[in-house]
Amino acid sequence: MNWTLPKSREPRGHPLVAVFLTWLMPGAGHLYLGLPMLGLLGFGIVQGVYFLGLQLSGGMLFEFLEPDLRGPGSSLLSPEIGNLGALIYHVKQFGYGPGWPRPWPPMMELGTWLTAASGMLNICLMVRAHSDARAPKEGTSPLSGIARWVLLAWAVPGLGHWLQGRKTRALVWFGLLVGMLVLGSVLAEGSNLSRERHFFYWAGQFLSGLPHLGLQLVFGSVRVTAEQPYADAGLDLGCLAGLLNVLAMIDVYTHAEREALAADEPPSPLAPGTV
Amino acid sequence: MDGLIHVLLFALAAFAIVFASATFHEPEDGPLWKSLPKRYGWFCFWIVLISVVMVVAEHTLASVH
Repeated sequence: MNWTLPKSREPRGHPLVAVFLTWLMPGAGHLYLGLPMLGLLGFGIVQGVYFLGLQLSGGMLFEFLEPDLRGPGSSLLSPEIGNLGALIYHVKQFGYGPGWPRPWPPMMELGTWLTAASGMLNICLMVRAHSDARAPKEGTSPLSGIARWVLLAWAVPGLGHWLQGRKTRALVWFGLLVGMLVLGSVLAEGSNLSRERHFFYWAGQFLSGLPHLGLQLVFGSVRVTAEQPYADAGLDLGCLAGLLNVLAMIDVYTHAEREALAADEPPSPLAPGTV
Repeated sequence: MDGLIHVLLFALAAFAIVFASATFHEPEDGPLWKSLPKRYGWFCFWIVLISVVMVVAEHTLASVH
């Protein structure tokens, strides 16, 4: 008995290889899967965002770190880790700067947000590569569109749930996460939003997407002129909001995957009306 | 007042964590909302218990006389 699949039904490739290649270099996973146009498009967008951010920030991101926080693992705890190839280039090319303090470029905050966003975009591309690898060589996968849910869920907490029709959950997710981020920013008087001041906590808050960017652009540069009794509590709440949004993203992805696979399943031969 | 604010902030953060956890256990909305009070109660119970153990341990083992 021959148990091998016909060529046309074989999967495009190994999902983990596609994910790993995409992590190293955006688009490489899709080249491996025989989808060069998608690979080039992914490469252009993800690396374009990173290098725009690099230009705007002058490559000075890791100069935010105090000398005692600079080490071989420091850059691994930044969202840029999602785009490993660009991060390695960044660290090798710019590192921690010349060793003395320099004024930040005028668009420093936006620039460093863009390099972080590139990491997040590449994670979505890795999700897409994982789905595409499971698709048959000829034909499309029902899973190919679900990477967009991850991006939407990151961009605005609750948006993915809302567009999936799970509106009550969406409102609770949005209210809780954006509420905690805003409350945290009020308690910390905006000091929590500065990547320069809280490099690692900023990475956690960044995971709450565009609401964090909006708050950062408006309140992130506020000067601290007096004691802030609830600065730590605000920082914790903001960071928790971002970290919990990762769970919201996973929930949205899982739901989308379940729905897509259920829709693609052939009807059971024992189902009523088929016998 | 300061203590009350910290308790309220804890209650908010705890609710967010419990809600996030419950979404994975209950794909349907009805059972999700129904299970929340019990989950929230247990979460707070264990956190308070751990806090008491930590305070007692710190008082007896780490205090400086």
